[in-house]
Amino acid sequence: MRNLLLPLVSVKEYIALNQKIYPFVMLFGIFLISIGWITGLFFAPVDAIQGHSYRIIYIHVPMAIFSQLIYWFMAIWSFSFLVWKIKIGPLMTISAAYIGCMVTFIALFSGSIWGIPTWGTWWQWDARITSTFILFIMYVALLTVNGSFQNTYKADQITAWITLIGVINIPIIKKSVDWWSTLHQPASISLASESSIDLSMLIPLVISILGLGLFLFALGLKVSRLLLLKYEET
Amino acid sequence: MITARNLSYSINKNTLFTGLNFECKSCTVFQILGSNGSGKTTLLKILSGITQPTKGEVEIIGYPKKIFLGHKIPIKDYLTNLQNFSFLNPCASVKDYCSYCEAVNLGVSKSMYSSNLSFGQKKKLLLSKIFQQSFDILFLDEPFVGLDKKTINLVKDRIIQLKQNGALVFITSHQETIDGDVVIDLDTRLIDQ
Amino acid sequence: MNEFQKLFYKTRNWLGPNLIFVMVMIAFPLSLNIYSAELETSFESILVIALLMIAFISSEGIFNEDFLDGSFEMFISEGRSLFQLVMEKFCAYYFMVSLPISLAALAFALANGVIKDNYLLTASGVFFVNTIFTSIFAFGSAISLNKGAILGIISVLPFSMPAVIVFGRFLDNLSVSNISFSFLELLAGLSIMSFLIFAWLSSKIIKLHLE
Repeated sequence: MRNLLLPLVSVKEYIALNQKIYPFVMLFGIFLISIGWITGLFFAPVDAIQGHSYRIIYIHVPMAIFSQLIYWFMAIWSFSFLVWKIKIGPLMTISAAYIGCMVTFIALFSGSIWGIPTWGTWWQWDARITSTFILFIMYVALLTVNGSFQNTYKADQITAWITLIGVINIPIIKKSVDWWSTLHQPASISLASESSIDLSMLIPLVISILGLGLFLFALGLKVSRLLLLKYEET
Repeated sequence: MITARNLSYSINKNTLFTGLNFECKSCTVFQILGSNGSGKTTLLKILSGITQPTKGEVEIIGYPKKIFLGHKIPIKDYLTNLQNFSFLNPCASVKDYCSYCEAVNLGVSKSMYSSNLSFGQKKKLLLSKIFQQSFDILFLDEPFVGLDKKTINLVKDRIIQLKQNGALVFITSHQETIDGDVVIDLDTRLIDQ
Repeated sequence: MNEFQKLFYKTRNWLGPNLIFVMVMIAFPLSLNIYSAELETSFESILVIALLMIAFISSEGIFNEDFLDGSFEMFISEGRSLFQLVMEKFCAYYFMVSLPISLAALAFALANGVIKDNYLLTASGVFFVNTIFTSIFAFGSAISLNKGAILGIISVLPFSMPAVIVFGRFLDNLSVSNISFSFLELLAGLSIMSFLIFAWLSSKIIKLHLE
């Protein structure tokens, strides 16, 4: 138990653990993404209504899922930093913010590309798209706030507080397609109920999601090491 | 009244001071010396509770009435001199204002806006706080800056009077030395009695 | 001398937002040459923009002056509660800015023919919404002390999204004279929650800035 908790309180232990697990996570993530995307882009059947354009689902949906999950990840680390003074809390929060910002942007961009053949428009101010855009602004805001304070202690505290308050937006984003009549379709896959898409399309999607998760986690490990180096310099 | 144990303060990698230990009782004037950037103001802020130390702790026994008067002057430009005086001293009257102005030679109208005051005049108005009220602990950061010689002597006398009445005074000053009972030198880390 | 009196004497901080609101509400039908049929829809849009703008303008300098001139430091050293001071400041702004604006919004809503009854509910709804926006933007002002207002806006604009959503529902019901008391209770509850939460958070952030 002590060995599990040590990386939380000791930066040295965290770096050691980071260096140990990074290669495996990254390789496995790339492997799963490759399987998922190759299967999805080349072997999954054509959609009856959307044709081949639906294949962007294998990029867009995993990105959209992780844009929200990464925020929850940040909120948990911010909470643990504020309450239990976990040393690596701010480091994980900011590393995740960089990743989350990138992922949200890709989700919005890929969604725009999908919008042209499906809705005939790049952009629409509907609930889901607008709330995801707000999420992107939140990531940018967090990074801006964190970077604008010379005093790292102050920066970490303020970033943690803003992260925690911003959590209110995540359920709104998730439920926006159910609460409002939006252009964006409701969720096709759900943990609690049966999926509305065919298994031959669903399996590559699930593999893509898992692969992207591991890849982003590995990327986060790398970013956190780079940030530690930056902190050491200053 | 105040006990400081192993006080350290650093911002990012810059350590101002470390391992300060001292105990302060009432009826004492503590003089804090040090070069620019040695952490005099920071130490005062830590002792007064404005800032938290990086390491160590400050223990204050009871609930003493404290005041911190720093470099900045909280005089509002959009208020008149009398309004600012009332803001600083809620229980003081117009008569108190007039007698204080006479004592420190602050010959300004009650209804004049404080934006027209000079730095020294604003400082005099601010220092009315220590004249009109009594405190158990005073933290005075460069209190003599901008004051004329007569007012400096008045302030020194008031500090000594407060000390004799049981107050604990922390003071930093590059210019005027006041006979401090205890001197804390942040450059040499010496605490001299 | 309390926060109400201080704000009263600092005329530009409360009179400015009120005058700007009146100017915007008068100017839009004149400048846009809107026909009476479209006035109702345009009124709602302009009201949202005006309220957001006023909340930002009025809360921009709420903490700056006291932070820069050392009032907060003096206050904390005396052992007084920063949370209480911030709450007093918020209440002062609600009284001097949000309340007059809600009455002005009611007057303009009547003048533009947007509402025909429900006067108290209309004014109350606008008041509560403005207090929510003011609390949020004041929190942004606390974050961006000494850093410039843009940082504050970027940080808190996402938090105003739930408030804007509720305000949108309020405006929809306003135009069809369908404001229920329970909806007003929701607004009142959100206003109280945002007042307490953002006042507490602002006091924490200000304390961090002082350290």
